[in-house]
Amino acid sequence: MNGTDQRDAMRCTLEVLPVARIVEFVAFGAAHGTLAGDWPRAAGAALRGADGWPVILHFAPARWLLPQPDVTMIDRIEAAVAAGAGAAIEVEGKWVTLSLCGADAARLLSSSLDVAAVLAGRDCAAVELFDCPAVLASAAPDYRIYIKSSFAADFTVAVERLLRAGGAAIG
Amino acid sequence: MSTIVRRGTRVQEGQIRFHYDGREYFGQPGDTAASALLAQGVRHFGRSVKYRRLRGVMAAGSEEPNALLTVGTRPAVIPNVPAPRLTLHEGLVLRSQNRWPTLSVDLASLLQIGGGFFGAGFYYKTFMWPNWRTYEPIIRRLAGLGEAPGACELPPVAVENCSCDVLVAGAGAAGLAAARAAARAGATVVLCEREPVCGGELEFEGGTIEGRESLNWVAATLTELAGLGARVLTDTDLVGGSDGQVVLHRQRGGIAGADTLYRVRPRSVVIATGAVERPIAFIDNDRPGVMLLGAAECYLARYGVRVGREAVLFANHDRVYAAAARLAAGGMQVRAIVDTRSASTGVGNSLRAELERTGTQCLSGHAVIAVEGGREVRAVRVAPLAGSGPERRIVCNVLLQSGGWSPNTQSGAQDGGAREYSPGLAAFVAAEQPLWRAFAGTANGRLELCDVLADGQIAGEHAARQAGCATGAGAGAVTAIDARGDGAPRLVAFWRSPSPPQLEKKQFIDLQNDVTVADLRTALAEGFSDIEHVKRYTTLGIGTEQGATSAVLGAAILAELKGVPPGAVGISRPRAPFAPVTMQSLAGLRVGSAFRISRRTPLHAWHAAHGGVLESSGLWLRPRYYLANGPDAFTAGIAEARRVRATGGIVDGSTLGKIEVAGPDAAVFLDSMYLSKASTIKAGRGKYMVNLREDGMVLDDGLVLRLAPDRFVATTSSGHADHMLSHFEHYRDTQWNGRAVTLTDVTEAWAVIAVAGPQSRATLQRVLGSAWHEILTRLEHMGFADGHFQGRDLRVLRASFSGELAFELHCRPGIAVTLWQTLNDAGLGPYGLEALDILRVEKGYLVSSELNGETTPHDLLMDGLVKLGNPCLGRELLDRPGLHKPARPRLVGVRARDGRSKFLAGAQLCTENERTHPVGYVTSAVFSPTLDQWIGLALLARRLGEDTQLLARDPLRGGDTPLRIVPAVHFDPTGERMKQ
Repeated sequence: MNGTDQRDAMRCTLEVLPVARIVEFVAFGAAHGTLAGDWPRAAGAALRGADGWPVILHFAPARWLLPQPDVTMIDRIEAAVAAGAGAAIEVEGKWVTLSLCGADAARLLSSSLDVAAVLAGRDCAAVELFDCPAVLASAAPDYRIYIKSSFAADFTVAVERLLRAGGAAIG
Repeated sequence: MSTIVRRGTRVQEGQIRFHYDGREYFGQPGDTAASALLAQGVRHFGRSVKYRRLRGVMAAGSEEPNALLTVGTRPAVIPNVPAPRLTLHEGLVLRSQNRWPTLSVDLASLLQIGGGFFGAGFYYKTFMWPNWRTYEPIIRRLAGLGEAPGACELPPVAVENCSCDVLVAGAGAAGLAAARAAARAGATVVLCEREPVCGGELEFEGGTIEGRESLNWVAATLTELAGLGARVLTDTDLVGGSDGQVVLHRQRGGIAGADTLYRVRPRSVVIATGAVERPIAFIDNDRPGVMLLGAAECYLARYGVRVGREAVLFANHDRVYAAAARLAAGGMQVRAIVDTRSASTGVGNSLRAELERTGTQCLSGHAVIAVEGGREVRAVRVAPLAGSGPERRIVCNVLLQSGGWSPNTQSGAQDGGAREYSPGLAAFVAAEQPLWRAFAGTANGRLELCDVLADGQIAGEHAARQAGCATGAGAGAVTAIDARGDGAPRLVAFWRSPSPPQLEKKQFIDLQNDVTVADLRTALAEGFSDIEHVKRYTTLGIGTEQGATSAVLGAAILAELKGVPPGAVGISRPRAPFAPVTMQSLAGLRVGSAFRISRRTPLHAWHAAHGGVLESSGLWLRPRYYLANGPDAFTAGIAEARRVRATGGIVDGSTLGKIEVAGPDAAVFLDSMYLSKASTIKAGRGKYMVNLREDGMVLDDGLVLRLAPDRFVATTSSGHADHMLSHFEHYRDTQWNGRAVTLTDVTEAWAVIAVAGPQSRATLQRVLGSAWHEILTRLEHMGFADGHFQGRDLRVLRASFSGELAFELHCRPGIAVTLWQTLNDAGLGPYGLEALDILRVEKGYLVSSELNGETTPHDLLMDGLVKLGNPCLGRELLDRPGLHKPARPRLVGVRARDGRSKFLAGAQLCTENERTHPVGYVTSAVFSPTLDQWIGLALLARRLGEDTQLLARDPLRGGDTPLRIVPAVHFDPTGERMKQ
């Protein structure tokens, strides 16, 4: 960050990703100890897919977000439910999935919070970005942002304002 | 315009044109407003706030108390900009302040004649006859500092949040040494510096460091810091912070414009913000041409400006001789040096001999008594401090004074830090500090260059260790830094020159607020002796410079007057911001529409495009009414409500809170949280439920739908979902720990469209298709069914908040607009919150006006629910006697006795016999198109009978309205319309 100025143009783009299905899996208290295999258990941990992006995000205590679960993930969820580990809640429409990509994505987000500190040692975190509740995940230098849908319009306006201030692209 | 090109560390060749008080001037790139105007012989920069005395530049930084300028032209003006901080740019328009009509001729300066009447606290003792309003217009015209801006568009502020191991504030010698030491130890370092360049006083003091000329050392150190990844922010002030966060403010060019606010979380902090040179109080020490000695050196070294032709220097330390030599080498004639220390105090300075040899008169044991010259310095009067001796008059046009240095310790007084008086330094220094913060260099009371550098290095090492670093190659190797600069100052405290008592009112302490020695004496005489009280009573140090030049001087003189040491008086506690920050910067990104975040339903765009008048309902934006139905809320609301009762309508209920409760213990958990049992609800049905707080008051109400044996959806009032979720989670995780139950907010996962009215069922049967026809026919009140609409999930619940036959459609947001439009196309018009309110008041349904946290189920006529006897949260305290007293309220309906008068929610209810003692109030009031009159709900003391004649008293809005009590359900009391 040495030499950069927060007023310099932000080289990054914001894009809405179409996600047909999102599931939240919520464990019953300590029962998530029974979750099998590589299910991410540590706070802020995530299981990543082949493209490097998280497919299971442990974003809150005993709560995981599974965006666009494929057949394998669905099987895992159903197995976890059958094992009595917790409940799966269909939350399509609750979260809007955004992709923030580019060299200055972190700098843009730093206008709202110290993203480097928040994600230090974590794959994901539940945060407030520009006062909007969100789940933030990174695959450096890019970010996936799951914004609660009722806040998505104001969030997008906030990001667009910063991008326009620097003349960068809006996806 | 001068054709001489000035040379200095900050100016370049070139020409910049600007205007000051209507005249054109020229400066050079790198100049400040002060340096450019001083270079062209301008001596007057404004008038003081109270006595309107002419003032000139005194300092070279933000501690400047006098030269505050207004920048720009009306209405886009920025007031109170310190001229020494304002970087010139082409076309700048500047104006002096506090004068009318001109700076030279100011009518209000006649106030100086009545100076005796305007001492400390004068406004508590004057302006009383006939009353203060008589004087208010002229006070408003004369008072204040600068002119408030009108419309002024500034570029948006940038905000950055970041963290680091070590934050170093101040990039003078100590700060650079500290930053270098910390970076060498492996710490991530942020170094901030108020000035546009680093180096601090090394810019003019010269000297050598580690074998290099000092400015070369600065450059080399900055290069090394860059290589070690340190971040250097110039034009950046440390303005405050708390709870582990430090706030920095960057303001390029010394004026609001392209500001950046930094919120930094450092693991440790080094404060190396230097010290502010201190003036001395003597008669007429505020005249234009009286300046701080260090400021004169700054103007010469940085901008090539000689602040005067013939100077007299006045100080109480050895540094004055080195400064005199530099000023003389820069072309100023130093006529005399007035040193308050006696010859025997040890002025063994070889420079003094050289200065005397070149014609400078050096007077030990003397003080400047007074300045001569009304509009600027023309001469000074000097007298011996001890014994008898002649008073001398020395002609000069500038007096450069230095009473010592006050370390910048503002931030050291926060977060539990302390300050103490140092007799050797004659100043207050930081004392005990939290482990994560250290002071270094001149800010820590070190005055010699080698001590400053060593102090900085030690502080940087310590800070790195505190931050958990010490892994760099240089870790642990604290070596002495070879440095040569100005020698030890050997300062002897001196605060003010002797003066006859009647002239103490001309000895200024705080130039910005015209506070004099006489004012301190007055404050003491009137019983104000604590420094905090004296500050507020006299206005000492409350201006834009916040006591930088006046706080210590004022405390020391107060101590003299009280006959105690300065340490016994102390100095007042400074508060953030420690440097001026615009309100815009503090607001950061929360401006305009971003000031308050809003939430939107999936149907928001449709409402906005179809004449929906949107208003905030909590954070949600909801349509209050639709313009197609009337030009205002009252007219449109009535039309929409009438249409719902006659045929039907649709309303966006997506803001309804929804919490999905799942797990083997879901039913038992919900039983414990609601007044009636959820476990008795059959799958496929819902029930109206109420939950209580621990103290028995109603918390919220809603429907609970049973989706499956172990799965429910609990609805909450709009905007209450977050609160209710927290409430449920708290009790699940504490009192019911170990229960297998999950709680998930699904408010946004489901859009809700309420379809209400006599034609609701028939319309839905047409719109949803044949698969739904039979379901809709058979669906009972509070029953629901799951299915699909155009391939997407749809849940249809038969429930009513209007009293009409009604259904709630719960669908995924992606299909909401299509479904809504289809219903609209089928003849169901939209209605908004205004009509919703009319319909529910007609039916006696409750909202937050009645569920206000102060009402029990008994108050709200829910005795039936209480009698079920479910042992839920709040049930026990509901039985306490206090909640059953006759004075407790009960819910009633109210109408005007004459059947037509208007009354409003909030009106207080009294009886005809006791018109001054309220017995309740109107909670909701609407004009009912169904009943063609104003109706309402009210909470009324239950001891009153139904035949009580009431008076709705509303003196602020409409006067008194006679009311009668009626059942809370105004319309269709048996609910026949809903049960069709």
